[in-house]
Amino acid sequence: MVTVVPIYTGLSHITGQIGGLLLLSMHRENHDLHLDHKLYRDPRDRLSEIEGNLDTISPPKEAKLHFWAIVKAVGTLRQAIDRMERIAATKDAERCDQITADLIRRLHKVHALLRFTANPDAGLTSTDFDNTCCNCTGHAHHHESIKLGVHT
Amino acid sequence: MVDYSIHVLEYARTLNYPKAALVYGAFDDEPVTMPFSYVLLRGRGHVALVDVGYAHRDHGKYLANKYHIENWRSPQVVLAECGVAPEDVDTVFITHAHFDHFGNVEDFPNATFYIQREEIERWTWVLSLPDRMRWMTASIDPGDILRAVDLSAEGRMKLLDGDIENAIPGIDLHIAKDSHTYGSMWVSVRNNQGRHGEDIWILPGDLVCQFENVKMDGSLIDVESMYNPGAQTVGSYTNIVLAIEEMMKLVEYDERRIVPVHEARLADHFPSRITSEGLTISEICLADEEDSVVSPARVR
Repeated sequence: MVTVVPIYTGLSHITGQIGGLLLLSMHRENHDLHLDHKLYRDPRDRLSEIEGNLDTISPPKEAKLHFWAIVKAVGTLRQAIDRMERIAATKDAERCDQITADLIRRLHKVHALLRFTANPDAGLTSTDFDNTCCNCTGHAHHHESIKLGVHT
Repeated sequence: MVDYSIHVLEYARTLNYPKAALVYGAFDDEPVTMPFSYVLLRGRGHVALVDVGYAHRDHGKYLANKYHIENWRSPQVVLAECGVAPEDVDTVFITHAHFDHFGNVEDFPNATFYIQREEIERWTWVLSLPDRMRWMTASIDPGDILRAVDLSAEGRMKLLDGDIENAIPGIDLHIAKDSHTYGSMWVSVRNNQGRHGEDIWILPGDLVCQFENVKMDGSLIDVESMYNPGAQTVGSYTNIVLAIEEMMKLVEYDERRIVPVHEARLADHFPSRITSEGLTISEICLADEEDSVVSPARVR
C-alpha cells in the first residue's frame, strides 16, 4: 500500500515551484537566480518520479474520480513544464507572451484539479498547515491518509 | 504635520494560542488571544495596506475549523469601518508570503503589490525540496504564488531587491533576510513630510508579534529590558534581533513606535474600538484634519 498524500503534495509543490520560477523570470531583468543549491530539484525530475509512483497505483472504485483528476493534473503539469522550456527557447517577445499566458492557464488548471481533489482530513491539502502559526494550539490532529492499492 | 493615518484592523483571531510560539521561551505563560490583522495607511493621496490577510475561500474554511480561527471577516467588511472599499486600495506591501499575510490578493483589484524578490526566490527553492524537509514549507499556499503570477502578468506585482526609500512618499521598505521568513520585509512610515528621524512608525510584519519581542524584562541578565524574538521562524533568531535593533534605532529607541499586528494588547496602548462584527480597530495615529474612526476614542 502507498499513500497518495506525497503525490498530491508533490504536485502542489511543483505547481508552486513552476509558478515561482515563472514569476521570477517575469522580473528577471539582470538578476541571476540563486536556485543552484545542491538540494534543489528540477520540476521535470520530480514530475517523472511522481509519474513513476502513479503507475504503481490501482485506485479503489470510490477513488476513481479523484485519481483521474490527479492523473490529469500530472499531464497538465507536464505540458506546463514544456511551455516553460519553450519560453526559454523563444526569442520572439510576442510569441513568448502567448506561451506565458498559456502556461499560466495550465498552472491554474492544475491548481483547480488539486482543489477538486483536496481532502484536508486525509492530508490532501495544498497548504502546509501542519506547522503554521495558527496550528500551534495544542490540538492534536491526525490525518487518515487515503490508502490506495499498489501493483507489486 | 502628520501625513498618514495608520490603523491596525483585526480581520480574524484565534484563542488560546501558546505564548511561547510568539515569544521565545515563554513556556510557562498563559495562552493568549492572537488577532490576525492588516494595517491601513491613508495619506499623501494614497490608500495602502500592509499585508492582505487570507481568503476564507477554498481551504480557508478548513483552516478556520481545523485550527480554531474565529470571526474571519472580508476586507470589504473590515475596511468599511474606516470608510474604505477594497477597490480604493492602490498599494499593498507584503511583509512575507505566509498565507495569513499574502493569502487574499484577489480582493484588491486596483492595487500594486510589493514583495521582496528574496522571499519568492527562496520559497521557490524550498518548494523543490524533499518531503522530509516539508517543515520548511509551512504556511505557504502554492496557490498564492499563482495569484502573484497573475498580478505580475497584469503589471501589478513589484519584486524588490532590498531596501527601498519612498516606495510611496514617506514610506520606506526594509528587508530582513533569513529572519521570520527568507525575505521578510518591514515598513517604516516617515510621518512628518517624509523627514528622517521625525514621527516615524514601524510596521514590522511578523518580525515583531508581541510587545515582549521588543521589550522583555531583562532583570534575569541584569539589564532593564531586552529583545526577545518570536519563536516561529525559518531563518535566524539573530537576524530577527538585528532587525529589531535597526527598527529601534530608527525610532530612537521608543518601542511604542513599533506596532505588532498579532498583539491583542494594542487596544491597551492605542485608542481602539470593537466593531459590530466583534473586531478590534486600533488607531495608531491620525493624519492632519482626519477624523477618528474609533471615536469616541478610548484606550481599553
